[in-house]
This record gives sequence, C-alpha cells and structure tokens, in this order.
Amino acid sequence: MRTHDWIRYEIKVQGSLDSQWSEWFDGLSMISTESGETTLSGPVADQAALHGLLNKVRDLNLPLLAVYRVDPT
Amino acid sequence: MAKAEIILPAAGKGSAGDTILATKIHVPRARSAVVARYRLLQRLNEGLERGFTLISAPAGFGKTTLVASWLRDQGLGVDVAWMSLDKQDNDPIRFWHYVAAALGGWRVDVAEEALAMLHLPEPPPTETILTALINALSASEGNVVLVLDDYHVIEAQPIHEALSFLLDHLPAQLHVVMTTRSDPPLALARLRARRQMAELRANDLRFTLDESAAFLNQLMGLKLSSHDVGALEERTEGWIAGLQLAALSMQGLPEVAPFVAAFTGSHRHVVDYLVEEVLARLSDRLQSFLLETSILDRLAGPLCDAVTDQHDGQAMLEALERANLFIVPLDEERQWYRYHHLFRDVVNHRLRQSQRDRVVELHSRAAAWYAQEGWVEEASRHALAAGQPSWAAQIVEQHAPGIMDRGEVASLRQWLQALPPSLIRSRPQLSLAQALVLLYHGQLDGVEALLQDAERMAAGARELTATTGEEYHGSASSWLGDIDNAVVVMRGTLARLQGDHRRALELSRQALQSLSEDSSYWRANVVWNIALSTYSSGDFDAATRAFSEILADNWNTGNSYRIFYAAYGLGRVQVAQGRLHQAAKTCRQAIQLANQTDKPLPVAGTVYLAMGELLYEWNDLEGARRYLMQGLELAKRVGDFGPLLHGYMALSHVRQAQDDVAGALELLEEARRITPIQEAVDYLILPSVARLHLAQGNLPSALQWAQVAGLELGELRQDRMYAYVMLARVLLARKSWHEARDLLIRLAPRAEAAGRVHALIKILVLTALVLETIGEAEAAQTTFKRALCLAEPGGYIRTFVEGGQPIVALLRRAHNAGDAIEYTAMLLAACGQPPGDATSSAQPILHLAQPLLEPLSEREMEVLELIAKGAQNQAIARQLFVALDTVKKHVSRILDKLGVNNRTEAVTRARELGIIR
Repeated sequence: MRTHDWIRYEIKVQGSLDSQWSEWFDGLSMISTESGETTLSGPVADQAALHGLLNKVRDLNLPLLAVYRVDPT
Repeated sequence: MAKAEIILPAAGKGSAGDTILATKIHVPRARSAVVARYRLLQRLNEGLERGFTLISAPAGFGKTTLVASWLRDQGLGVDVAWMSLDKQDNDPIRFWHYVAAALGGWRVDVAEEALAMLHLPEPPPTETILTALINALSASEGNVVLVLDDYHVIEAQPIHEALSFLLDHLPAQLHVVMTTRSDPPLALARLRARRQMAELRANDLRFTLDESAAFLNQLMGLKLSSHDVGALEERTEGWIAGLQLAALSMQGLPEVAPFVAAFTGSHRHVVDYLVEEVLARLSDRLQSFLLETSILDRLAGPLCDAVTDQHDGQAMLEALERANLFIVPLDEERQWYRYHHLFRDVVNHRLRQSQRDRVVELHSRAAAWYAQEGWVEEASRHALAAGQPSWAAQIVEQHAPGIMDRGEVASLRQWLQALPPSLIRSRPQLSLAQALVLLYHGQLDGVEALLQDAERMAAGARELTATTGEEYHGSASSWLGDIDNAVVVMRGTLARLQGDHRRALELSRQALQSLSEDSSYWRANVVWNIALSTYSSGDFDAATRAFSEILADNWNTGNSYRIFYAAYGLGRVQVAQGRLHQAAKTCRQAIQLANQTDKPLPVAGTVYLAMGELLYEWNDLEGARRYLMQGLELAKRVGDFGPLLHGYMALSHVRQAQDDVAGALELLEEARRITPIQEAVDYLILPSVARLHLAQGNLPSALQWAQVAGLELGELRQDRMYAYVMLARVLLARKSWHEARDLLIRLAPRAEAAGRVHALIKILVLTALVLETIGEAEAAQTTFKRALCLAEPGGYIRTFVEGGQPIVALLRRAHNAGDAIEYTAMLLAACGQPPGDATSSAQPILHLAQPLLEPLSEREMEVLELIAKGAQNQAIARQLFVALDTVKKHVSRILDKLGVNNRTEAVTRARELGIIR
C-alpha cells in the first residue's frame, strides 16, 4: 500500500505536546488547544501501526481521549 | 549434525548470556528511602492469599518500586523470583527459560526438568513444560512470589495462553505478581469473579495529598507550603514520576514559588516540560552524558565511556544514582544499570531533536564496543540502529562458526532473530546459519529454500569476483569457500532427518570428497551423518567404522562432547550385533574419561545409560540401577530424547525385575512425557507398557495394546522390531500359538539378514518357547541351541531368566544334551535352579569388571594400598599422620565406592579392577 492509500486517523490526548514530538509519532501533525488537549492527525499505514502509535501514547502517560478514523472525501 | 549438538545457552561463566540473565532476574533494590505506603502494602499482603496480583497502571506510577520494596524490605518471609521483561522475551522458549531460571534461583531442583525440556531441540508443548514446573513447585516446601515486571511488552499469543494455563493450575507454593501498563489479555473477569486475583490500578497508586507532602518535603528535602504541595499534586494528579521530576527541578532553587506557578499554569505535557527543566539544571557534562547514553538498553561504565568517548562513565552512573535521576541498578555490584523507561524515552527523543546526526555515530560506538566484548546480539542490534545492516550481518557471521563448534545452537538462533529476515536472505552465510538452526530444531520445511538461496548467492559472488577481481564481502569468516560443500552436507542432514538414509549417505560421501582439510566443523557433521544414517539403515559395519573414526579423531582434541556421543553410538551398534563385551569396553573407556573431571558433561550420561543396559542384561540389577539413575540424571540435560528413552525403558525393566511394577510404570509415563515423536511412543514405549501388563498377568490390557497398536504385518520394518517381538509375546500369552510362531518365523530371517543379533537372540528364544508349547520339541531344541550359541559370546543372562519356568525346562534339556554345558549351567543357576548335572562347576558370573562410578581420591588410594599390605587402621593412621577417625572414614568411603562389605573384598575387587596390583 502506498502512502496515499493509508487511512487518516485523529488521536486526541490530554496534555500539550508541541510539534517537536511529531517525529516520535511517525510524522503525524500535532495541534494543541488552549484547554490543554492535543490532536495528532495524519495517515497511518495499517492497524498494527495504529496500535503502535497508541502504545507510544500510553508509554508517555498521555491520557487517551479519542481515536477517530477520518473518511476520505 | 547430530540433533544433540547442544550445550545449555548460558554455558560459560561470564558470558553475555549469563550476564543478561543475571540482570533480568535480579530483584531491584528499592531506593533507600521511599514513601511508606501502608495502605498499598496492606492490600498487597492481603492479595497474597489469592494466586495472582495484577498491578496495571501507566508508566511512572511506581509499580516496580512498590513491588520491590514490598517484597524485599517488608520482612514477609516469602522468597522472590523476579523477571524483568523486555521486547526480546516475546519468544516463548526464551520467556519460559528465563522464568524457569528465575524460579531455579529460588530452588535449583524446581526448574531442572523444565529447563532440560526447554533445551531439547524440539521442546515439548509449553503445557508439558509448565506441568513439569507446576509439579516440581507443588512438591516443594516454602512459598515463592514470581514477579513478571513490565508484562505489557509481551505480545506473543502463545505466551499469553501459556500464562493463562499457569494461572489456572497455580500451585499453592507460587504466587504471581504482574506489573504492566496495559491490562493483559488474560481471563481477568473470570479471575476477578472467582476472587483469584488482587488488583492495584492507577487510582490506587497515585500519591495522595499526604503522600505527596511526605515525598516532596521529607524525602526530597524541599520546604513547600501545603498550598504548593496541593497545586503540584493537582497538576500531576498524583503521578509519581511527575512529582519526582518536579522535585528534581526544584532542588537547589532559591525560590520555588515561581516554578510552581509556571508549572501549574502550563498545559504542556508534564514529562516534556519537566524533563526539560531537569536537564537544564544539570551540569553540561551530565546533560550530554544522559543524552548520549539514552541510546542504550543497559548501561555499564566501560560501555558508556565508549559511547561518550570519555573516561568518567562509572562515576557518572553512580552520580546519577545518588541524585535519584531515574536510573536503576541491575545487580549488586553496581556494574550494570538501566534508565527508567519513560525518562529514557523522553531524553532519547530530545537527543533526536537536538543532535539528530549524532545518533548514528553513537549507535556505531555502542556496536563497536559490544562487538569487541563478544556480545553479538547487542552489537548487531546497535549496528542495525546505526543504519549499517552489513556490519550487523558481519558481526554475526564472524562469531557463528565458533559458537557452532561449541554446539550452542540456541545462541545462534537468538542472534538471527535480531536480524531482519530480508538481511538474512541477502547473505549466503546467514542463510546457511538460519538453515542450520531450522535443521537443528527439526523444522525441515524452510531449509531447502535457504540452501538454494545460499548456493545461488555464492555462485553469484564467485562470478562477480571472477569478472571484477573484487573480494566478496571481505568477510573474516572462512566459510565462503566452503558454502557449496556446506550446502551438500546440510542437504545430507536434511535427507537423514527425513528418513531418506540412502540419499543422506550419498550426499555425505560426496561432501567428504570435496571438503577441505580444515573444514573441521563440516567434516565432523558429515561423519556424524554417515554414522547415524548407516546405523539407522542397519549397515553396522559402516556405522562402526564411522563411530570409531569419530572417537579416534576426537579422543585427543578433547572434544568430549563428540567422544561421548560416538561412544554411545558405537556401543549401541555393538549391542545390536550382540557383541556385549565390546560394547562394555567402549563404554568403560568413555566412563573413565568422564571420571577425570569433577563435573562430567551431561552427554556423558549417555554412556552411563548404555552401561546400565548392559549390566541389566548381565543380571547385575543393582549395578544397572546405579548406572541408569546416574545416567538419567546427567543425560536429562542433553538435547536428545533418544538415549533418555532407552534409559527409562531399561530402568523400568530393572524395577520390574525388582518387583516394583508401579515404579516401572511411572518411569514409562515419564518417558512418554519427554518423547516428542509419536513413532517412538508407539513402537517403543507402548510395547514396554504392554510388557509390564503381561508381567503382572494383566492380559486384557496387553491385548488392548495389541489391538489399538494395529501393527501392520505386511512388510516388516527394522525400526519396529521391538514392537513386533512384544506382539509375539502377547500372542503367546493369549495362547495364539500358531499366530505367534508364524510371526516369529518371519521376524527371524529379517533380523538375521540385518545383522541384528541382539534382536535375533530374543526372537529365537521366544520361538523355541512357542515351538515347545505346541509340541514341536525337536524344532524347539534346535532353535534354542542356536539362541544359546549366539548368546554365549555376549554372556546374555536376563533374556533367558525373564522367560521363567518354561525356559528352565529348555535350559535343562539343552544342558543334558550337552549344548553349551557351562553356559546353560550358569543360566540355570541364575534362574535359581541347580544344574541337572552335578559335576558341572560353572559359577554364576556375578561380578564383571566394571569401572567405578566414582574414582578413589589420592588419599583413598594410599589407604587402600596400605590395606592391601595388611595394615590395620592404627598403623595406617600412624603412617599417614592422620587421626584414627579419619582413617575409618576413608575406609568406609573406599568400601562404598568399591561396592563391597569388608577389607578383604575391597582388595580383591580393587585387584580385579586393576586399581592396585
């Protein structure tokens, strides 16, 4: 599967992480809100990659708030 | 290669494997001062009543610290077996090996059997291994807590299943504690419902306000107002790592209020924020040290020096420990440490951010250090991380031949597991090594493909060299020239394992022709293949030559591993040919070799087993029992169930002969457990069980075996001879005389043609019995005479004695007819019958010159020599300048070792054995 076949996910976590962490999370973009939440978003290769990302979230002790799959439109 | 070329993975003392094992099972020392958390300790104590304690919370909640301090420092009176898990432990064999080793650290005997099974080339199903562990634990005294720390790294389904099995069958002596960041995929709901599980979760582990205050003010020596404590506790939500980082950030600050305000006012992720704070306060030196060493899984002074290119590594590590900077010692000697995972992740991330281009360099340095120290797995991993797969491959290739010479296939397997499959397939030596590992474990499927890859690549490389003049890979290994030959050798092994002995021999002989003189490893493999294939296909002469060659080749190089195995093989061939005395001589020589060391190699056990079987046939039941038991003890640790199987069978015969039928059955059950190959169970073990049934007069059970076994009698196969003979016995017992006779009459020529004298003797004895019973006395006598004639040179006794009364009649008749007069007299005596002819003077052969199981010490030899000269104890004491008591002790040991009851017998025996003149 090529990158443009990958599916976009959005992962929302508690806590602000700046964009420097993007590389840690496989290049997902990171947007923080004023209220102290961060959304990681971008294309993910497959389910295994998704779980890998969620593990990284877990390992940084970032409370997981939501995971969305973004329909390609 | 012989399937049994393996020694335990953690072989040499101080090897990488040993060190890693030690650090993984080391119980972490809780920091000298921790916040006393009585409420949690109480819950943990109560939880001991249930079998399983789960501590599930994200990183940084102090799980490990809590468990360590609970177990180590609370004076609970329970013993601890600790397992620090990491990603590599997802290999079930490795996982359970470490668990068994951790439990073995508690009580050696608990883990022995499980470890032995894990080291077999084809380990039995995990359930079997665990059952052995569970049984051993159930039989132990005392209690042990097994801690599985960081279980979330385990993702392999087979391990989860096996752990479920363990929890379902938990012995009372064992309590399991698991720390993890994610709930494990076990039947937690069921365990909860049955109140078999105690649980601590993040909410339990958070610092309360009081605990936070205690930590910050008392432990960390800060002087915070309760307001500040409250603010910090709220910001971090009692997260211990967060509080710890905050405390570190505040140490030495003249004013903490600004810090607290800034920190609590920020939404930035706690760790990210605080690690930056902490790092900023460290000296430049310490900062760069932390950053650079964050690439390492484990830290030691010299390793850190290599990575940082400085000389203060050890000092740095100790400083970090004193400063409470998230570093954990992995042993008592302060040699090895690791960072707290979370802390390390963040620092590592920072390293990648700020010094991206240095990361590769740092991994290179680590790889170089590890390579130099011979830590192959770690070296190759860092080489891969440094983006240099060729280097990683070269490191493994360089060390592979050495490790195969020592037979440590398990290590090779681990090294290869660390490399990406695509890398392995792109290099001929690695493909070869991988094929070797598969062959060893009996996973024959992928082997041919790997061999073809290796062949193709080697051919391609030669072509390249021929056209460009460049050396392929410039590798340090000398394998390349022999890759083609190695492939032929391995194809030969493959054929042998698939049972195609003809092809195996063809390929092996072909390889022998073209292997170079110094390819000692491959040559040795070829001769092995030839020996085993010729033995299996019944070409005893060729097998004898091959085994003898191996013995001769290795006797002086001291590769005792091969010596014992070859001696065992040769012994078995000689037994099969009915040449019992030669077999005994072969074993004796090997046993003498074994006696030269304090700790004989496990593989020496095989020759003890062979000796035991011989003694049984010669009717020395006690001697047989001793040799067999010692042999089993040793041979359990060898990676081959074959000798063990025969050992168990022989010992069960001994027990049966000593009227311990229950014990005999137990042994056969054990044999069944350790035998992974169904054929061996069907054609060796089950018939043995039937034999026991017959001996007990339990004909129905024996008949049932015969029926279920459904032996195909169309084409009689050599490797099922034992089962056929047993069937004949059953038919005999069932009074199906003619069926029995017909079968035996077909078996005899088959055995004869194959040169299997041992089997032939038994067949003929049985045939004679049958013929006698159906009234063909003359045919019976002729057959029996033949049996005696074949059996006499080897001195067979038990084969006849087992036959009971019917045999006695045959023996008497033979004796009176003048057939083998002395032999038959001796046999009759062994059966407890006087010979019919009063003039016979044959004495039963009770002692044969057997080598000592345990040699006499120098001192004991001195005492013995004086005894032989007729000295009494007093005189001996005077002459040797020792106390009288000491002499008495020596004498008693001497009598013991020689297996005699008094001094006179001792001297006689010692002269018989050639120990004294």
